[in-house]
Amino acid sequence: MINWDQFVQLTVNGLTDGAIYALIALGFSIVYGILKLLNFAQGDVFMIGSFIGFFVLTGFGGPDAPVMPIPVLILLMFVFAMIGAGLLGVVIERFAYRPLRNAPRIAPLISALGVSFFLQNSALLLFGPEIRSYDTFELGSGEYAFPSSGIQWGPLNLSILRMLTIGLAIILCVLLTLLVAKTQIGKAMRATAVDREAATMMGIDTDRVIAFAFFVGSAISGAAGVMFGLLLDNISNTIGFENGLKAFTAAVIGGIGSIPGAMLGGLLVGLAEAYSAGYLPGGVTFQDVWVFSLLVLVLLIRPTGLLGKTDIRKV
Amino acid sequence: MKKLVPSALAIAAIAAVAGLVGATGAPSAVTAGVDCSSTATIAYFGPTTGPVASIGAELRGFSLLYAQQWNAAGKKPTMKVIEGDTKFDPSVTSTVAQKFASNSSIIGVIGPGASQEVLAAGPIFKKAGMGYVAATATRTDLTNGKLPTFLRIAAPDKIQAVSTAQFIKSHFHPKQVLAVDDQSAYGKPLADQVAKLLKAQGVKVTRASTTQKTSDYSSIITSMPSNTSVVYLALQLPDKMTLFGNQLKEQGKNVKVFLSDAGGSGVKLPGAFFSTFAPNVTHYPPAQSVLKAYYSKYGSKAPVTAFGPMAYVSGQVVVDAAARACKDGTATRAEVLKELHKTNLKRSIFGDPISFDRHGDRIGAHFFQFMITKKGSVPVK
Repeated sequence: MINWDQFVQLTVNGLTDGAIYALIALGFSIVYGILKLLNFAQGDVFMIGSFIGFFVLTGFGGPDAPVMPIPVLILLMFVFAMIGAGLLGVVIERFAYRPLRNAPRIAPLISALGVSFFLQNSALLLFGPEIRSYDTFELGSGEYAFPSSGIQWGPLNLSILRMLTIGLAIILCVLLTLLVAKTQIGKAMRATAVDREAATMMGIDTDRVIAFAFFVGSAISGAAGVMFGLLLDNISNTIGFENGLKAFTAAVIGGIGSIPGAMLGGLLVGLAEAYSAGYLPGGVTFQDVWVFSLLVLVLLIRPTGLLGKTDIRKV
Repeated sequence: MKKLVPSALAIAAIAAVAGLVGATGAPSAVTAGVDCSSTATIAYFGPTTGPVASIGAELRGFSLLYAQQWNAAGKKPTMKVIEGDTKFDPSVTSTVAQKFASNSSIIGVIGPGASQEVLAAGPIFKKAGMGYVAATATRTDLTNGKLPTFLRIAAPDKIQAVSTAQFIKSHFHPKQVLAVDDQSAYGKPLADQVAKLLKAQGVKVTRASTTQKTSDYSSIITSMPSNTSVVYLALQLPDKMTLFGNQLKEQGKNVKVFLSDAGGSGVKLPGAFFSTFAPNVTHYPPAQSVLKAYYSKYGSKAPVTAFGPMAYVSGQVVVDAAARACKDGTATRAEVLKELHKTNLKRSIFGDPISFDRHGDRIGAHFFQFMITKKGSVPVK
């Protein structure tokens, strides 16, 4: 007998966490789509984004005494984190990946791992190993007003923060899809993804297009970092590795390189975590086992991921 | 080819030496006495940085304070304290413990902070014959004889579990309790003990385990039985406790929250209760000079919780034992360990006398219950 109250709330919890994974997975997918590169530093860019958001929050008075209206403050946190993370992505591409563009594919992969460790340890050096807290529940007038207010409908509890997280993920996914499908730069990105040399011969500045893709992918991860801090309060230099791995799994499950696939994969991973925590033996302790079991299952049935396309090559 | 032969020999020699060093493992006990007629060397280690850095800073400050006061008063021998940072990581703790054990001038150690750190350092210090006094490591079986050089100031969790279960039962009269641990060497056995005691009193208990890396507790909260009226959290990280409590409120769960001893270290959950190993010494007369010295060194806003006074006493016990062992101008680790066990302090800064049983547990140690308020915490009878 299913307890529907529990099921509905677990679904909300899973969709919220999944939305964060989806945002990071979008970064993985956009970079992979254009360069066929697994940018393992994506999770660490997400971590840096969460720290930028934290410093903006504390710089403007902190959660206890913000010097401006909370919506404006949160907007600023997103703006700074997205710009900062986006620029970081461009710098990473310029110095860690571009020199290796014509090298064997293993070289940029190793470079990506190196960048990931570099960022994680740089954060350790700069910000220390301690957990920083957004103290989101101090935000707003009255105790816990901001994060806990929202929709309370029967068993369903959908706080503003959870609505914001899911909504932001959907909005950014739609915007990214439109950017790639409907704009001039999107057309250039698609052309570069199909054949970089041919795109260059057609007059497309592929370096600039690739840098733009890194900026967009990293900016989205930066937004995910702020969302993570607002929703789950605690950030540290290690959150990038853990969440990056889940997001990579999400991107693979959805079909790496596919924007809707990243979104779908992220939500599935989030739901798998929530349902396993709620229904399966071992609960939260072993939820990673269930998530990665899902990955194996999907890859066994559909090796290209749920929405991935088979890479057809001329022989 | 000829050039390769000497290189290979050199590598083989290095490997052989490394193998020998590895085979010997932890340094053995230093049996010869060290000269401590003018200066005695002791060590301190704890989680100065890492995920519990806020507690670590307080532990460090208070642990070192007694030695600093000792030296400032011109007492002999002068205490030289070598420091190590465990980063709340057992593998780092082992490395630091190895360094201390290898340093033959170190005759006693203050620390570490948490149970898993004690377990990590234990075998090394056992082999080195090094006495060490932890302020706040509470796991019950740390003093079951396997770590014969270990002593602690805090009461063990078997006492915390009893007082916690009694408090929950008598104050909240719950029918259903959720007990959550973080799979740590400290949290899991403590939550198990509390759950067992509550069940014995007729309370239904649901157990849940997380990890210290868990970042979202909302699914545990969603899945707890609907008639749950008390949530007991045996977690080590204060920030995680705060998040758990906030997510309870986010989901509109109107439950009492009771926290294990880490709850007294900056958890922002007004209305929640916690168990801790020392009374509030803020207004206790014998503690005032110590608090004044602490504030003058670390600032008037430096947080003081139950961890600090316990750490101060651990430093006091080690320094005093080292000084007694050094009376004849030399001391061995064995002599310091013997003196640690002979500790007989009439009154500590939190009022209790300090002496140890043969297992290394403080005689008469017990736990206290507090409620968190917006401005700090208040004791609960």
